[in-house]
Amino acid sequence: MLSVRDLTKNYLTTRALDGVTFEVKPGEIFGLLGPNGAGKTTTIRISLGIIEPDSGTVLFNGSELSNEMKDSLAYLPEERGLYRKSRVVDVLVYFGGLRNVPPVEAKKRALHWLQRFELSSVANRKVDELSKGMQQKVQFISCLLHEPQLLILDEPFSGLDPVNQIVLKDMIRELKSDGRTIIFSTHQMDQAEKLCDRICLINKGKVVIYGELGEVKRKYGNNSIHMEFEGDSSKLRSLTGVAAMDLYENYAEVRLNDGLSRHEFLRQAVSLVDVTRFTVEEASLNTIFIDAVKSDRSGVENVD
Amino acid sequence: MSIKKALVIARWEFIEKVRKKAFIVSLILMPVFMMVMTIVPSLLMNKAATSTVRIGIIDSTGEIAGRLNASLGEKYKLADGKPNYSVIVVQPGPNAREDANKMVLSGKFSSYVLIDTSIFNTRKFQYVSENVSNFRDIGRLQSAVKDILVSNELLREGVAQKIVADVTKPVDLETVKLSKEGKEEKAEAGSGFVLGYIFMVILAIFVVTSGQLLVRSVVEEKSNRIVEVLLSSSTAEEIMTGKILGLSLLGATQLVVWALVGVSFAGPLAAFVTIPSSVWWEGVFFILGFLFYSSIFVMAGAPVTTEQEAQQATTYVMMLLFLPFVLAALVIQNPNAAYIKILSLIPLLTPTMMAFRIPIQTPDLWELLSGAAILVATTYFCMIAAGRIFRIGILVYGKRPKLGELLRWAREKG
Repeated sequence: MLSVRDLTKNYLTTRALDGVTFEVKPGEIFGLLGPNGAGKTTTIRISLGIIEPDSGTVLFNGSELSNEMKDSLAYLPEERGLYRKSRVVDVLVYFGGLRNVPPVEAKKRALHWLQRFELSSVANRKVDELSKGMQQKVQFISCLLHEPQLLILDEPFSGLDPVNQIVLKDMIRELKSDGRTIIFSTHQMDQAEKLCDRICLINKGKVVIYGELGEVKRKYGNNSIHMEFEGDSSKLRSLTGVAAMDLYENYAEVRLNDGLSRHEFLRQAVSLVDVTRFTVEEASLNTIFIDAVKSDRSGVENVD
Repeated sequence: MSIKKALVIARWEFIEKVRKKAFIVSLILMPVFMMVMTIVPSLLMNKAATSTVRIGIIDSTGEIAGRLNASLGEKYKLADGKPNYSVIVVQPGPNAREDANKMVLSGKFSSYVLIDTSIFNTRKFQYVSENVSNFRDIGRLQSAVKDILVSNELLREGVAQKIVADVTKPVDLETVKLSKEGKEEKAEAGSGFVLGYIFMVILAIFVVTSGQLLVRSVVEEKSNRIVEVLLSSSTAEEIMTGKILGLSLLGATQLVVWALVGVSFAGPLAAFVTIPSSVWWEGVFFILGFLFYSSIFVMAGAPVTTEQEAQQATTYVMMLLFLPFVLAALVIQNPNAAYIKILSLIPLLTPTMMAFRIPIQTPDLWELLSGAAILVATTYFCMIAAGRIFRIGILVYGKRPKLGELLRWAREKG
């Protein structure tokens, strides 16, 4: 569906993207993850043709983005905004028109979607009379009018209350079952974990982790040890063979280097503190995210 | 570029703005304002006075007061036939001035004149009033006194009474405007100036209001990031073309409404203006001026982020636009001066200068053509540069780019 190859982009002094490469398959939900400032939005803007990369290519179904193809894309920017002084239905019809949906058809679809989101009553109100959550839903609707093949949603859940988050999540699922492709960018890992088929984690303009969600979890999360203990926690710092350790007063989350077995680690730990609980758990995407970003920052992964 | 998308954007810009209260108000207020500014003062000035003006006179010669009263009373009458002026004699004496001053201050006299015995030699007299800007009254008094002095002298030299009366009869001047085609038309003195000024003001206001709308809509779309949605569905050229098109349509609506108002008030208007046959050139410079200034507003407006910055940026453009108003006085005195011709060919001044000059004295054809040609060429390049600056500028937030950066953007090809 979308193939991003070797994108680089420099802003004055900083390198925003450095060889970003990934592929989005038709009909999947693809998570573009990363901390603030990692280059997610830049990647999205380049993919949509809003800005030009310094080098690299973006292909849609094998060819470069043409103006006609833009009509089958949808984009929900991270920072939300609609024309505040205009009527909801007019704004929706306009956005449909920008993607070549004839006004009559656009209005029909707008009213349909407003009803789906229980917003029929505000169709003729001005945008700035709506609550923030309502405005966000209206903006989401503006991405649906032209029945796009690919939707790119930048932080779609931010600012929504839990009830509306569920509404939106269900809607994204529904779009997927309709055969549409969705890229969504976020730093909320729990949402990504629930929705994504595949993910791409970007940090400092580089792809750090990329692949199918389950595979990523197996590969990066299998060594996660959760340990409870009594005794002097600082003694644990002397342990060797540890890739990352999240240490609390009586609790530690540990990821081991490939060379060290869990058995060997436990033996060492027991000699230092009184271990009361020891479990091996599949790491959450959140832990993987934090690990990857942290180690990237400290360079541990490279040292080893 | 897809014309269809540009039209979708143009339609939106037009409909959303035409519905706004501010637009409707300006649509109605503007002609009212123009009427008040141009016609009402002249109507008031030409309106006959409704009550007799009392003028005091301290006449040390004893010869002038009576004849002044007779001469003014005969020449100037009110609508109801009563004399416009009544001259009231204050007996000369040591306290005469003081008394007359009191009469003026208490409102019994509107003014008084002080005539010394030396007037026959010095030909000087004084006019005293709280308001010395009443050109009409002052002018009439002056010419009446002059006539009296002249006839006095002629009579003293033995010229017959009848001849004296003939000699001092007033002279009427009729202004005839000669058009480029050699047609002669009667025209009120200064009528070309009034019309030129109206055209210049309308053009300036027209350009400024649409320019500000353009800048403000760009700033709004930048601040709420709609610009990213626009750019993901259309190209920068389509957006810019759409916006300029929509605003031109808005401007055209405005002009049509104003023109209709103008025509329906043509009666009172016709007394002060004469429409020259070359008036269609006004249309040419209106359209070119509008497009040219639109591109300048795009360049000034695209890179800014806040309303305040937008205000600043547009202020500079407006100053350029209003420069010809300062030159107006020079233009009337000699519309054909070489430096006026040169200034009229500078693209930033061409639209307003031409709008002003055409009704006063239509410039030569070569001047109109070269002015238009230079403007077309400049507009073409400015539009291309504006498109490039717009494309980069609408994604720039925060620090305002320096002039050098803008120039670099303008050179970068898409």
